[in-house]
Amino acid sequence: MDNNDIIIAPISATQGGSINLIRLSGKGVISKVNSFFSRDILSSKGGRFYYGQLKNNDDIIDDVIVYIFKAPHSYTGEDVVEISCHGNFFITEEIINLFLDHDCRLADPGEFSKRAFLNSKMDLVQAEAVADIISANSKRAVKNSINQLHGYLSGEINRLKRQLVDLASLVELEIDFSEEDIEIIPYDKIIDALKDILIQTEGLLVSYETSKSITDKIQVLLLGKPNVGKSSIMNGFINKDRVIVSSTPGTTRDHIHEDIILNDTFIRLIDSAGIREQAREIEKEGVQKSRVLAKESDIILFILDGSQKLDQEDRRIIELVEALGNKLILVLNKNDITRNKETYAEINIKFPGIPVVDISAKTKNNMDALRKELIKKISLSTDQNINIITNARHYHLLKNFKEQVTITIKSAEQRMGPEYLAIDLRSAIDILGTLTGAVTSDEILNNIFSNFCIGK
Amino acid sequence: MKKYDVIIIGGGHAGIEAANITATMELSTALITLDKSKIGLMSCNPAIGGLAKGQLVREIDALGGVMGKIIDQAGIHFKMLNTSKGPAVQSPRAQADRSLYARVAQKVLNRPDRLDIIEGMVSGLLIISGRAEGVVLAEGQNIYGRAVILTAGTFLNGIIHVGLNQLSAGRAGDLPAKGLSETLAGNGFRLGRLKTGTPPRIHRDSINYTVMEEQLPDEKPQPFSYSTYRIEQKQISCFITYTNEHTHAILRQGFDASPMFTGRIKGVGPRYCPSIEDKIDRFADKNRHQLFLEPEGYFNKEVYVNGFSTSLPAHIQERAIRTVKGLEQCKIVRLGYAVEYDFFPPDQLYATLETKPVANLYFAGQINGTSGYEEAAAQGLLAGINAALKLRDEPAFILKRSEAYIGVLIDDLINKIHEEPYRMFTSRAEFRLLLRQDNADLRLMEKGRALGVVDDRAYEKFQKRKAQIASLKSKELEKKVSMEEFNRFYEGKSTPIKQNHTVEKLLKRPEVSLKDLLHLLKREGYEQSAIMDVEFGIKYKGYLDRQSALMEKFVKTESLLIPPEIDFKNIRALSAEAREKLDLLKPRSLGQASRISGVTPSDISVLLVYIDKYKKMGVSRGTAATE
Repeated sequence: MDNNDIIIAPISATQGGSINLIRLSGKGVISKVNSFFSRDILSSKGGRFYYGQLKNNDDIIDDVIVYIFKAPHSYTGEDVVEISCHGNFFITEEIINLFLDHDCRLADPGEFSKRAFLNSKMDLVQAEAVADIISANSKRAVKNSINQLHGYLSGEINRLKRQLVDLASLVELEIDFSEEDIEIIPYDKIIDALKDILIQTEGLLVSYETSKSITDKIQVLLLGKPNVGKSSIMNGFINKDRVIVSSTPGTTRDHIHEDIILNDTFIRLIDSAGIREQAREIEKEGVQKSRVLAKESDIILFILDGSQKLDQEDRRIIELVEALGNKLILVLNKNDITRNKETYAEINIKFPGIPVVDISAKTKNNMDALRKELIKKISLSTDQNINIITNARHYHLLKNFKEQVTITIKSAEQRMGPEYLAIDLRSAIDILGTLTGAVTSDEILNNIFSNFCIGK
Repeated sequence: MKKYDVIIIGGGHAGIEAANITATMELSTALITLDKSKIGLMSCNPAIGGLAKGQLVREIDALGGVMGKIIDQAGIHFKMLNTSKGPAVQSPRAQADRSLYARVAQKVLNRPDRLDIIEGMVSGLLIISGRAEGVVLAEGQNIYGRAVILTAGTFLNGIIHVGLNQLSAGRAGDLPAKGLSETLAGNGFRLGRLKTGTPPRIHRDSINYTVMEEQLPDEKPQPFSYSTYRIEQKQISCFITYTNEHTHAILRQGFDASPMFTGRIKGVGPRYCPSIEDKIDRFADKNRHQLFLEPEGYFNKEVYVNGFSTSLPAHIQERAIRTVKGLEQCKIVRLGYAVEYDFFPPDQLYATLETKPVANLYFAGQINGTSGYEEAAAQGLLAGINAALKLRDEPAFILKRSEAYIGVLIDDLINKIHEEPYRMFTSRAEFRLLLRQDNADLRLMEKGRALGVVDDRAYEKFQKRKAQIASLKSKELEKKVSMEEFNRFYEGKSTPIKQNHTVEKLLKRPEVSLKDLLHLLKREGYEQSAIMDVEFGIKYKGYLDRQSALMEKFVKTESLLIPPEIDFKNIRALSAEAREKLDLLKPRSLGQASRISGVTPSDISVLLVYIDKYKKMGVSRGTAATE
């Protein structure tokens, strides 16, 4: 509930512009930014902007424009600095991380607005609106963070948390139930367990640093019957856009995918072809797999042969994607041959309001229109700012966590009493708790009661 | 017809504290009990204190309560627990002579100037336009009072189970209280059902102590009360023995006739105090369970078999207990039993323990779903203080989680949904290092004095202790200890120093004690308790600072009061779950709201905006407690 520490978050819209805007607000923010900026802004009167380089030690992160607003003449009513940097995911994230490493924290959803309200920058009528913004943003952020946490990272963090809760329970057991006939855990065992947790944490940090979080890719599925031109379209994207990982179709994979960056967003293009080819014997299984992929994907490019009448196979896929209208882009390929009127008409009736692009993968005709449509869809289906925030949040929390585990190990090695170790462990658990939900003392007691026979 | 200021229903540990404190606060008080001679009876095990509970007793004492004073005169086996650990988690415990305890309690309550003790069964409450105005006795008589404190323990619709037999009773040998639950349900109170149990009591002369482990009392018994100078009673031993596979086999034969396993008992029992049948059922791989034999007094022939709580049929209890080492020939004097009783889920209370549905009615003790004498006494004390303050038109007395275990207790009670009887554990206190049994006076006595409940003698003693601590901190810590003397004294025990160092610096070494340094400096006259306090503050400064920082943050959110006018149901921005829980629990502060499960940080931000909105609109920020 600290209300004047420095908070930071990207504030510009997500539609992959060439500029990204990051806002910092709070007491001492100007001198904070000053220490990483190539120019002296300490004496700035506010309401000015400065061009210069943002630097971490001697490494230049980016050429930026820094806007200075002095309290109370700012959005939040506090001192505010806004940094305009190049609209690139990595740069934005690096700048935010730089400040997070130096006593700033990520703004909570709606926190700039909340501060604005608390500093009387808004009138009473706006109070409810602010509350709604907070609630809506946080729902989005929570959803996003749940999405990210779904899968690998979530499993890992929950596992770390469980191990710590077990350790905390053992320590509390020694304090609150020392009169019971119960074996007390030796400190060396605790230290071993903590070291193990430390190694796991380091592993997570390394994987974050190398992959920049694999979870925030936008998954784009290319769906359509064989030979409708999926791989040509895929190649069309690959040749133009930056490929990160290239996979060759092989017997071990059940689908072909390529990772590209389109407009600063990670995209995983999936060619559903692999599915069918692998499951040729069992047709049903192939359809089932497509169904799952379609559901998991953020965007579906449904590719039809616009020069032909729709056939049985097209109709089967139509059935499959009918309910997924909001992530659909319809692609009518082969407009270089002819446009089949019946097909065009039927598609328009079947999918009202869904974007349709007709292209020729062969001649590259209209491929740019398809790319634009895809970018539009991407910006609707994701909020990159939130991705940056959640990524940075996870990374920083893990770093803090690692530090706290190290402190805890030291306490245990110095043979601090269980009541002190309990405080260290609680601090570590609380850090993870901000990611996975708080751990209460009840949870620890429950863990004790279910694992130990307590009670004389 | 006489009208009392405060009427207390029940003469258990909550009732005693409530009655004593309202009388001390100069209010005319009536305590109504079924049987005068049973005031202060220990219905469960004959012990006061224990881990976390000992802290509660010390706090009660610092606030003018009597539990500590009574046990100091009735204790027959004092023991400080967790002495191998630091002061923050040490707790005093004492076995009591049951009849002596009740006698002392009755003597303490003998203050005819302000306190009438009335025998009778309360069958209803007088509630006039939502306010408690007195009670109705079963005989039909009305007793009028301006406030009523209900401390009915396990007596509300109590049912005792032994095997498949059951009878209505509040405690073995006593009638249950009927009618009250129904009156209250009619006034909008929700009821729940809980269960607890006791072990059999066995005859002292039928026990073979020679084959058991003896647990000796502390050589130097430490009193609970800050007013007690010294423990005078003779101290006697307790004994420890164990069940075995044979015992378990016999107990299992009785499972078919267990009121618990057959579903006869509907109430939920505490997991931290399970019956022996529960233990062998849930922890089948454990081949023995510890039993703690507690004497019930110097002359009392009964011995309490702690750890053998059971509601299995009589013949099973008898056969099983005789397989235990040292109990082969034992005679059961009283059977173990389970008791089921009504309780009122405590979210129906304000932090003052006044009920939300009925004004000037207070609930304290086991009827709020707690277990334990100490938890009950703490609530009785706070209910009494707050009833008195309300009648005097003075602000409520509410302790924070950061100030006292009592604060933790009441905050947990009113803000959590409870599924089993609530017992205090040190792990429930976030600020455990700060809430020690040895500093309860430093934390609370000034407050007690302001309330007018701490007498001159106790207060003078406290002032002296405070002065000693201040003098240690200001005068002694900066003194330099000579290198030669230090190295000579700590030879082989601590790394030699190469120059003179201050006391404060040397104290950072784990092996160095303030007592010894004062000895080296030839400084005398300091009491050990003051020395300990100062030493602890220096040795664990890092941790204490961390807890203090947390505490400051905590106090800040705690002081952000939620205007009672706020209608949580209509704040759309709150999550559905938060709306529902906040509306049910009606927290008074932002801090309280944040501890309700299901209320997220974003809900708290939303509330903050609303609090501010009300503040700016100039709406009163009155507290809900006095509504």
